[in-house]
Amino acid sequence: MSAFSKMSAAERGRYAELCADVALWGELDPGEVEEFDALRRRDDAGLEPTAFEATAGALAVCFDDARSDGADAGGSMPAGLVADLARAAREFVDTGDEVADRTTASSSAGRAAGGSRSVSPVFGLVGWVLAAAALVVAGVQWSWSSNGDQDPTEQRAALLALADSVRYEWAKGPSELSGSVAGGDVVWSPSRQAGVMRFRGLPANDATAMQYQLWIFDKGRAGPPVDGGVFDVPAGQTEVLIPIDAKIAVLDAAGFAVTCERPGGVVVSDREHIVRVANL
Amino acid sequence: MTRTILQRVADRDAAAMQECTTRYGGLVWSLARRHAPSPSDAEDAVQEIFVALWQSAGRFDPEVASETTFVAMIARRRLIDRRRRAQRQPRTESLMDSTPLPTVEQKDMVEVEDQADRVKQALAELRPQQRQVLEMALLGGSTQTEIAERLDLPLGTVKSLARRGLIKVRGMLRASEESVDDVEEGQR
Repeated sequence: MSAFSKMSAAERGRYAELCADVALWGELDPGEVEEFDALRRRDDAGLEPTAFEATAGALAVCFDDARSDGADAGGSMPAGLVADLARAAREFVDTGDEVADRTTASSSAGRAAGGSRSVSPVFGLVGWVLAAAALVVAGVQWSWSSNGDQDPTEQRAALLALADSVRYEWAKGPSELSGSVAGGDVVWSPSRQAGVMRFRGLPANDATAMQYQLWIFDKGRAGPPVDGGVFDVPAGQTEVLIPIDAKIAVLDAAGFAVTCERPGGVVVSDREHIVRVANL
Repeated sequence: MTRTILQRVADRDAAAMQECTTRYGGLVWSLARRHAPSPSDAEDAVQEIFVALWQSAGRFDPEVASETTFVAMIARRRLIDRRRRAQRQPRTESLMDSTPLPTVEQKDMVEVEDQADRVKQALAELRPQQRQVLEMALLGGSTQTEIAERLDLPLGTVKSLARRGLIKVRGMLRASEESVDDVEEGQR
């Protein structure tokens, strides 16, 4: 039986359009996300989005091959970068999935400080989650195209409206950097793999010295918590809303914590400065 | 049977990781340079891409893509993700990140080259403007808005050209895969 046996021809055509958009741009217009999600659930094999992404990748290779014969994007990799990759590869072999964190998010800041080139703190944990039978699609959208930005207030409201969303209030962490008042909450939707944090009383930070980093404790996987992204709290605001930027799919969010980390964040927190906890 | 580079990377074979950099470094660097706003950003992107590639190596599947295509998929995902982070927009899980990755197996070199030829043939069937928009999007990392401005086209037209172009290529590749399967089936 066809993987699309539950779809009409028109629906298959529309599904192809949406899969193509995801493969091309990595996102959809806000109104299309729900539509994509609904069609995806009827894609029995669940592999059509991957097939389109593979086609896009193959085309990128083809275009690159053609260009390499003539105008070049910028020559070979710099020798320093090759050396850094070799070093990172050795560390990866030695440490498994965790690549040694060596610093700053901002490469220009790192270089200006006179440090050596560093491996960006990325992933560090389990890596991609195969979800062939349960492709999770973000239900709320942001965009760097002309389709407009998703306001975090609206995003939070949309998530709260979902049946599966959870909301936990923040409590102060043990760190002296927690500030005097810990208001606000975190909203998370497992089905949308999206969330928004709301903070009151979290002190403003100097992003060149320290950034906050969210950690999501995932009952569905072993190992350290999921990196929920770094963020800043600007000065002069009584309340800030921050969308969650989970690096990998969260299988079963059990709790949340915010720590203070170096700019750009870390792969694994030493938990020296836990400033907020929720449901922990 | 010889294991592929990514299979050996999945086994944490140090030599394979060096081969991976040597074999795919040019492609990754080229994509990163075209997408990134600066050479230093491109360098960071390359590191991020290779870390992601090493972590994902165990999930490569030649049923969906060749090894080179897999590398390009990982690279594009990371480059688009980096661009989002640089824009500092409110974001959610990337739609691409939740797409299942190909999982693993052996890929015959003859089949790899055959696939590359089929992609080139499919590309040649597209209208010039479709090819141009796809190249700007997939190789250059341009957004729909940037492409629209550069080519002086309506945004909707850019979206439609890119979408239809990719769908057409996908369709042609699927048709040629099915005919190869039919021939092989007939030969059994």
